[in-house]
Parts: sequence; C-alpha cells; structure tokens
Amino acid sequence: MKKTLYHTALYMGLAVLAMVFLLPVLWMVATSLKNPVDDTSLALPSKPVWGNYAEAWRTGGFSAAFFNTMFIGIGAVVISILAGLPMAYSFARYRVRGRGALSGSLFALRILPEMVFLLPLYAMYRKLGLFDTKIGMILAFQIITLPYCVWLLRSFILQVPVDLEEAARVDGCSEWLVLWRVTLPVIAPGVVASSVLSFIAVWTSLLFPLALSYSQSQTVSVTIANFKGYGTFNWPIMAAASVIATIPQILFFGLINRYLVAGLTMGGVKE
Amino acid sequence: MAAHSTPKWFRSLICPGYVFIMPAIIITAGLILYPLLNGLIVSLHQWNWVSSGMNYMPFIGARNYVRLVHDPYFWNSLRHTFYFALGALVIEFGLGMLGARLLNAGLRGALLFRTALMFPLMVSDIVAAVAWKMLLNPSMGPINTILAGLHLGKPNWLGNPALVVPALSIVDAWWQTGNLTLILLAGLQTIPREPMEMAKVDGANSIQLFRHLVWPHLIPFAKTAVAFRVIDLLRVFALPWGITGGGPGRASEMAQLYIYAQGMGRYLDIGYSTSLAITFAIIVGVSVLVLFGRPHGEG
Repeated sequence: MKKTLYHTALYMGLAVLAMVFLLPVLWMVATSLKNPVDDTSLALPSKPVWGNYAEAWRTGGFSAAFFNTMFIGIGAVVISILAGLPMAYSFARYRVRGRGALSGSLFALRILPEMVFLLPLYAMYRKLGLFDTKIGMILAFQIITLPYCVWLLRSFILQVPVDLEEAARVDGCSEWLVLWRVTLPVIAPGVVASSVLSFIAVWTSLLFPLALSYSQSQTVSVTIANFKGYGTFNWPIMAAASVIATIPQILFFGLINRYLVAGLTMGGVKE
Repeated sequence: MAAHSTPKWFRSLICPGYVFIMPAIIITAGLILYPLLNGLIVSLHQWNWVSSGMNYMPFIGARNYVRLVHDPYFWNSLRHTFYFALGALVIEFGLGMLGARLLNAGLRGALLFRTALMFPLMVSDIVAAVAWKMLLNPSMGPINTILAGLHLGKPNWLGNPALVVPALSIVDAWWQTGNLTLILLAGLQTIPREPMEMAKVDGANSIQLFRHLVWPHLIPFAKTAVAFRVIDLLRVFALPWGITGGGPGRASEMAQLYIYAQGMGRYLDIGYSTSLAITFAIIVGVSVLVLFGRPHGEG
C-alpha cells in the first residue's frame, strides 16, 4: 500500500515535469496550424491550416537558408573530421612534445566567447572577400567544430584497446593503415556521433552567421530571427518556420541518443 | 642507411605523431590563432569604421581598455550576465537533480519521461527565443492567460526592468534543464547497487544515503555539467537578442549583446569592441578557473 502511494507520487512528479517541458513545444505546433485571426493563447486550432508551412517555407528566403545551412554544416563537418581524426588519434596514442599544452588550449577554446574570434574574422573577411560566402562560413565554423571533434574523437579512441592496434603493427601495418583499418572501424559510431553533434552546432548557431553573413550565406537561425522583424507579426507563420527548422535536429538527436552525454560534456565523463 | 643521414630533428618531425596533427594545426593557426593575435593588436588601435572608415587605424596604446573601465554600459551588461547565469543555474540544477532522481527510481515508462524531459534540448536557442517571446507576450501569450485564470494577474514579463532578467533565466532553465538531468542521471546510474542495499538494510535513512553514497559518486558529473553550463550561460546571446533585444532600455543587455552592438552589429567601432571582447573573455576564463579549476583531467 505504502509502495503504491510512493510510486504514484513519483509518477505525479514526473508527469508535472514532463508537462512543463513539453507544453511549450506542443503549443508551438498547435500555433503553427492556426489562422492568424484565431485565439493565440491556449485553444486548439479550429481547423488545421497546413498552408502555413508552405508559406513559411516561401517567406523571407527560408528555403534558401535551409539548403545553405545544410551545405555549410556538411562542409564544416567533413573538414573537421578529416583534420580532427588524425589529431585526436595522435593525442590519444603518441607522446608528442607539447601535446598537453595543445589539447589543453583546444579545450580552452570552448570557454572563449564567440565575439573574440568574430570581430577579427569580420575585419579579415571584409578585406579578403570572404564575408557572406559559404566557404567563409565553413572555414569560420572550424573554430567550433574542429576542437569539438578532436575532443570527442579522442575520448572515443581512448576506449579502444591498444592491443588491437599493436597486433596490426606487428603484422607490418603502417601508422596510417592502423588508424584507417583498425581504429576507424571500431570508432565508426563515435565518428557518426561527432559529425552529428558538430552538424547540430552549426545548424543552431546564431552569432556566427549573424556576424559573418548577410544574404548569400544566411542560415536558418538568422532567418528565424528575422521573421520577428517583419511588419506583420504573424505568429502561425513564425511557429511553422520554427517547427521546420527543428525537424532535422530532432531526427539527428534520435540518431545519436546514446552519445548525448558524451556530446554535452565533450567526452568529459564516462557513462 | 639513408635514414641515419637525415638530421634527427627532421626525423622526429615526420614521425606520425606530428604528421597526424598537421592538418588540424594549419586550420587552427589560420582560423583561430591568427584572429586571436590579430584581435590583441586591433584592440590597441582606434579603428572605427563609421567615423573614420576602414583604412584609418592609429595606434592608441591601452586607451580602449581605459575607456572600457569607465564604460557604465559594459559593466551593466556584465552584471546582467552574471545575474542571469546565477538564476538559470540554480533552477537548472535544482530541477535537473529532481528529474534525474525521479527518472532513476526504476519506474516503468521512465524512458518515455526521459524523452519528454530532454525534449527542449532538441530546440535551438533562437527557436526557443522566438517561442518564448510569444509565450510571454503580456496580453496575447498563453502564460499570462493561465496566470490570469488563476487570478495571479498579468505580469509584464518582458517590459518590466525588474522582471526581464529573471524571465530570461526561466526561459534558459526551460531550454537547458534537460542537459543537467541527463548528465546527473548518467552519474546516478554509475552508483553500484550493492552498497546501497547494504546501507538500507543497516537502517540508513535517505539523507544519509544521499550524503555518503550518492553524492560522492555524483560530484564529478555535477562538476562537469555545472562547468559547461556556466561557460555557456555567461556567453549567452541568442535568448536575450531574440526575446528582448536587450530591452526594455538596457535592462536585459548581456555582455555579448553589448559587444556585438559596439562591433559589427551597430556602431562598427571594431577597435573598441575587440578590447571589450578580450576583456570579457578574460573575465569568463578567470571565473571558470576560480570555480572549477581545470574542468577536464588531462590524459
């Protein structure tokens, strides 16, 4: 009897918490299906207006920004993995002089406020003609994604038993082959997780595209932010755009659910 | 042998340990190190693109730094930032701990609740900002509709200078409590069952259990989670920028918002804003070091 009561109390607590965190999201989805003249507060939409999604997609360059962000995100992740994987391997396996200082400063980058990089980059980009270009954005995002990938990949590599690599070395594999043929297949899920987490970092970033792009390389975040600046304050369209922008993130999160804690702590604590 | 005729320093350079880090080093040097050093130099120059154009850049020593010491708006923005961060952190840690303990109680359906509790993490900060700008709207927003229904009045969350920073802390708590929940839950799950059972048999109460068995296991997780939260809270940008734009007046202007406005956001005073950014970076770095030491063990 006492046990049932205790369990009921726990369920009640969980249900309240779940409501607090879920209701705003559900409200957004409901709002995205309303007419602009509908009651904005709590009522459900009288009749779902799916056209809001089509209109959001067409408004304010949203569709172009969507594909821009995909392109920039994938570009940034590819470079970060290609450059970051060997560095992570080196940090995990070799006694390279200055390694501690180097990996320490990569971590320190996580602490620095974005504006420290963005102001000098802005001046540089204006002079070099990289301002408002996709390649400029891809390069700038390395500031976030490269250290992130190196730290995450390193923590995945450290979990691979060294014996496996030693065996390959005894069989005459070169160091490149050991990394390519032995370590990489074992940490493949880690590579996927690092890529997805880095992509999400690009997808959600606001300050980088705000500072370094204008129209040609604008991303989803900036477009969403700009919706609020348009004359007609159209809640359903804003909500619809927000939902579209969030869908890729939800799909990706589903993919790497297992590695979320590693992602949030840059591999700092082990599950 | 040929290998012996090459100098030793050269051979050590082409050993894979160094070759492997080269691509990343080149990117880091060009995109991270160079801008950082360049920023240090820029901060010692007057470089205002609005008043005197891109090409006029006289050296003025530390005068930008002297100016920021006497800039009340900068210190105001810092105060708001720390106030916002502290408020958000307290709520996030409290709710995160509660959520983690409830999820760890071994109830059926816990996975479903876990998904619900971490759902806001899947929303970006600017989307959270857009959503909460509507939710907190004083006349049309659902939050005030609920409060009015409970006869609690209709507070002007975003228009009242005394309420606006706490309101932003609450929004951040909605957005990131799941972060703490997840990490603390991971910590709770590392606690071995046997000592807990034994202590229970020996008649330990739940406070004793928490203090002597649970908390020692949780410390590294709590420390890491809080450290990362503090870092990200102090660097906050999208929430205040998207919800209030720093207003009303300057009541919710945060550090990076002010620096952005001084720089490319509005006044194009690149020299001065760079000195602000460097000073703020030092303040964040020192705060994190003082609070946590080095958050990562070096392996």
